[in-house]
Amino acid sequence: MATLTIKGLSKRYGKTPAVEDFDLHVEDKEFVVLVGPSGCGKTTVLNSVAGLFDIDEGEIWFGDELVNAPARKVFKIPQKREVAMVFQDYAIYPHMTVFGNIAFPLSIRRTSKQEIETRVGKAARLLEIDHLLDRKPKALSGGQRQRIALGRAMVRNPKIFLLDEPLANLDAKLRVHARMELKKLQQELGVTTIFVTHDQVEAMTMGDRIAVMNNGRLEQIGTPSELYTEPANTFVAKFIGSPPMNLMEGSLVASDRGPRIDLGFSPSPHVLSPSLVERIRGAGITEITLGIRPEHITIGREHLENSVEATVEYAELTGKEVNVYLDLGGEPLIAISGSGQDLEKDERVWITLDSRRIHLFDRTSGRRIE
Amino acid sequence: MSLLKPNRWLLYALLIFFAFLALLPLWSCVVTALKSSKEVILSTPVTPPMYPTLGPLAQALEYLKRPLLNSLVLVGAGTIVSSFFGSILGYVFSKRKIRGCGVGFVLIVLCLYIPPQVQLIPMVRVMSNLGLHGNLGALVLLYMVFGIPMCAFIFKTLYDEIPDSYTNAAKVDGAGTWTIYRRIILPLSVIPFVVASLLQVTIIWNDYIWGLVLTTGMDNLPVTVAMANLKGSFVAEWNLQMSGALWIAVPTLVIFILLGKYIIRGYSGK
Repeated sequence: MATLTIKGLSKRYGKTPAVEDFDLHVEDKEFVVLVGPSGCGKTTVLNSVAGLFDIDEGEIWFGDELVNAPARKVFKIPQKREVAMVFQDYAIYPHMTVFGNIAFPLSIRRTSKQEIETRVGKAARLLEIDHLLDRKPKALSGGQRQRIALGRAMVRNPKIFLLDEPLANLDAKLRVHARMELKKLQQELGVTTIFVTHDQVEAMTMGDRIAVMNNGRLEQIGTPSELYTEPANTFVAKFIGSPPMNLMEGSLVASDRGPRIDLGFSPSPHVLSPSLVERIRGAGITEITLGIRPEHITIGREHLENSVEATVEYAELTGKEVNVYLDLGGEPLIAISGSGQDLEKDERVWITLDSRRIHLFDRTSGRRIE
Repeated sequence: MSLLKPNRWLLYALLIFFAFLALLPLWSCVVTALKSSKEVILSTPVTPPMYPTLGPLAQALEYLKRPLLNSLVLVGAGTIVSSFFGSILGYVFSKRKIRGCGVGFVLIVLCLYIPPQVQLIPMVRVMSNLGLHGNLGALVLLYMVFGIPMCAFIFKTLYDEIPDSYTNAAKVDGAGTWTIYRRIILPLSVIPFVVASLLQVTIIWNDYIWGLVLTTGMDNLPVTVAMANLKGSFVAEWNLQMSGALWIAVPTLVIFILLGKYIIRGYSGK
């Protein structure tokens, strides 16, 4: 088993940078999810680790073995890297049976026939596809194909698993199930894994740690709860969580009762406690972005201290909760309320922001203010 | 019953007329081949034979036996060798993407556009220097080499449809370039092989000019050239010529009717 270290990875396609100065360390047996919007460079990172191309700058280490470093002219070809990869389209060879597909990595290594049968059989039983071994993949479902691809990846005991959006082609219900199974499988096999997805729910539910990428750069890496409770910048704040965090722009202004935060809507509320104002002043910033998660907004029918008036635009029942789209002095705001509350369009309500759960960001850099 | 609009009627009338025009030579060829020499002189080329006979067909076959065999050898060798090399080139151009690959591919495709007339004299000299001039070997070599660019083009365009993830997955699983070709690409190449072979077969079978300039002696002639000799020196034996033409046209005709959709794939690259 192995750790994986990426230092200062850069890769350009022509003149367009795909990944810039990317650092990542993955512990042995850890499950790390690379998440970000499409085109953010996450698949490029995965392909670099697999060795499908030489990187432009940086170093990639498997444990204490250097596998790619253009500065030192080191490039280990993918065939020798002992990684296994599952592709988004699964890359199941249509002319081979399921058995042939899973056995492929072993048969090109000239493993003995008996050994191949034992190992393919074991993998197939674990993935519950042992009854399909003689079939051609053409007639199989998305879920079954995904298992074949996983089987092919695990059958040769690789050092590192690379999974490129393996759940994207499954239907919604199967995806939730596969998510759980894949996580369980990874724990059983104990293989260091990098999982790429654009779906933040997948990332949150599966990853031991999550690396959020945007525009070829690493925005933040941390455990799911770290990313959720302490997003390092506005991008992560907006990307992680569904519905996303509300972000409002505000400025530090002086008033006759001391400095306060003007959030642009009137009458300006006292939502920001003096300690928060102090935090902003301490950081020497006047232009801020205030973030609040939908579940930290309370909707009431009566005016309370610190509450502000808003209009209900639309209420969306998701099951046990209702996503309420509000208009707060021209600013859109999403809140989550219990399904017991009946809210109608254009209804005037009073909302309270939980001041302990407010996130503050520097508006110019987007960075979190601690 | 639905009534067709007038312009539809016009369209169908035109289509039937053109189909009739296109089929007229074939009709004429078949009826003339079935007539005796006397009847050919006494009737028009399109009237059906009054006393049908297989004599001219048998006579023409006897004469064209050896050239037909020669053409079969040419087609076989040319098709197998050039589609094999075309397949390897197509794999390299489509999946290996070595530096300068794009330029190489353009150069190879450009070879398709050099007219044979330009190459006639140099080719005769090259073949004489190789000691192959007049020999069937000259044609075998020529078709093998000249078929490669077109085959490479067909294989490349059809291999582009095989997802790159197949080759990438095989690479990560430990397969080298040759293993990927043999285990993944080649088994998925049935359609490109059919398409390339069909085009090669029809091109080589129908070719006339290279056979004319590069071979001599009845034993070495391809069938198209031998056919031209059937025309007779003093009297035009139309029934014999038409019989010969039928023997030559039938194989390609059958191929076009049965496997035409693959040929269209080859031309359209889809």
